[in-house]
Amino acid sequence: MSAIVQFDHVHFAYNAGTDILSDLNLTFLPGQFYFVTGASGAGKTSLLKMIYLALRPYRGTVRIFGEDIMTLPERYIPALRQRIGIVFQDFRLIPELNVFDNIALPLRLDRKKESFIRSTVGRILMQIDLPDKAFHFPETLSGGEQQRIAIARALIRRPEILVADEPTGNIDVGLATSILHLLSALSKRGMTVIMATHDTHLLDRVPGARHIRLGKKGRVESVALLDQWSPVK
Amino acid sequence: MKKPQLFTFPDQNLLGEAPLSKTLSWLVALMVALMALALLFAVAVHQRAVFLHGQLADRLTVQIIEADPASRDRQKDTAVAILQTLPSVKSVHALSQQELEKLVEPWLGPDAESEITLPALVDFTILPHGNRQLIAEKIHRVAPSASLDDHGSSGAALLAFLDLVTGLLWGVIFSIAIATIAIIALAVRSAVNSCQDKIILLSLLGAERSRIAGLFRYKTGYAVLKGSIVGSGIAVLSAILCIRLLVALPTPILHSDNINFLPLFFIAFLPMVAVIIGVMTAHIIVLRMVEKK
Ligand SMILES: Nc1ncnc2c1ncn2[C@@H]1O[C@H](COP(=O)(O)OP(=O)(O)OP(=O)(O)O)[C@@H](O)[C@H]1O
Ligand SMILES: [Mg+2]
Repeated sequence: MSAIVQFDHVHFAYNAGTDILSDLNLTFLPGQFYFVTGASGAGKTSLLKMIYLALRPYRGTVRIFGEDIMTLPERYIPALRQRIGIVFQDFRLIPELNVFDNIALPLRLDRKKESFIRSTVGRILMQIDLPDKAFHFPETLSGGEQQRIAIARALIRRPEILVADEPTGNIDVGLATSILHLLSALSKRGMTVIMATHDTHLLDRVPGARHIRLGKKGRVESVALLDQWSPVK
Repeated sequence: MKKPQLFTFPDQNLLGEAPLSKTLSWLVALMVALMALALLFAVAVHQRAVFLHGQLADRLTVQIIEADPASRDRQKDTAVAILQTLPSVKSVHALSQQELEKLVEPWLGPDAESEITLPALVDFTILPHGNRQLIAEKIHRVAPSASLDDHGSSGAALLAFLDLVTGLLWGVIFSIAIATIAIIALAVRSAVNSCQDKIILLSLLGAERSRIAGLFRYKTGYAVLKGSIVGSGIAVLSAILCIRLLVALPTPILHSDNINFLPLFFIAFLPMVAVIIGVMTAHIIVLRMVEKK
């Protein structure tokens, strides 16, 4: 199976001299579920940002959908991003828009019909268990509710890749488990899930998931299939 | 609660409320009102100058100051006869006694004639190439008491002044236009700055740069349109008020039958020009700012 995201000898630094990620080699396969863990500051968010084309390595190659992002002309980037759903660590909901309009944003960018938008958003509001909050504004919602709206917005386009940065950081174990079930079901239908998390106890909720552990100086400490621990040199 | 909107645009609610400050509309209204008034004033002054030029440029008057009425009338008649033979003279009109009395009445009162000897006056107009010097000499030969009054040369200073005023007004209009563009540019720039997070978000969600610029094009165009309609409305209303006041004066400066309303229609195009300028400014600024991301 060919990789949907491929990192080859990737080096990344915000400031020259201090590598956040160094010599990263990773292969993400379509339809798989990946957990990315590591201590705070290990570089999880930075790794995800490279996948959604917000950061570029200073050395090495990153391929997304087979495209080398270093040589890809600027004008093709929006089309690639439209195939990737992003759950930001800080949600990034638009405060002036209500829940419905926030979730509908990607579909509106795609100029979908309002009738399609209404039914699609309505369905996903049920899936995240917030059917009665459609016309509330983000600031009137709890952290966990905002987080679920951020997840809904990332999923609304049925992306090929879901990049989720701590999507369960603000919700209790019960809700987190149901979100994980949703994501894992979607991944079984072909969506690649790449999820950064602190909660190592969530890992066993997704059978068959792979676990990428980032260690010191942005090196990959291990890549493991669930419960099949295999340290990487 | 959604406010009813005059124009709809598919993307208009993508970012929520207009990120442009409401002040922009008011500033544009003020600038457009000033610009429209200056424009109306410039056109009025120019038209006045053209009118005066037409009235004065080819008009001359022969003035015969002679105490002896018989000699005066004789000189007047010969002057008229001579003028009528000259090919460069278009028309000749000797003022009658009544016309003369009417002319001096405002200065001397109704019974002036009995005490003061009035000069004889002959108005005439010449063709543009007519030689004033030659005409003056010919008249002088037959009417020694005649002097020639050339309205064209006495009006030249006034016309030059009116031209200067018109030029200055165009300068003012140009400056206001530049200032308006600057105001729009500053407003768009600060709106784009305050929306940077949203712009980055839209771009991460896969929105093209031109699409993001489109949001600001729309918002700017709408704000400028509102402002400039209000502004030109104010200008047209105050122009109409001015015209009515001037027509109603005891000695009207304007007559309602020679007012040119065309400039008022021209003002109606100002909002369109302002909107085009606003939209183009917004487009350029947003593209440049998004490019830096
Ligand atoms: N914009 C930035 N400029 C400079 N340094 C940065 C920037 N963003 C992050 N860093 C640094 O890069 C390192 C990795 O940050 P990153 O956000 O990728 O970590 P993380 O694993 O996501 O941490 P957390 O679990 O706390 O979210 C940190 O040391 C951080 O201080
Ligand atoms: Mg992080």
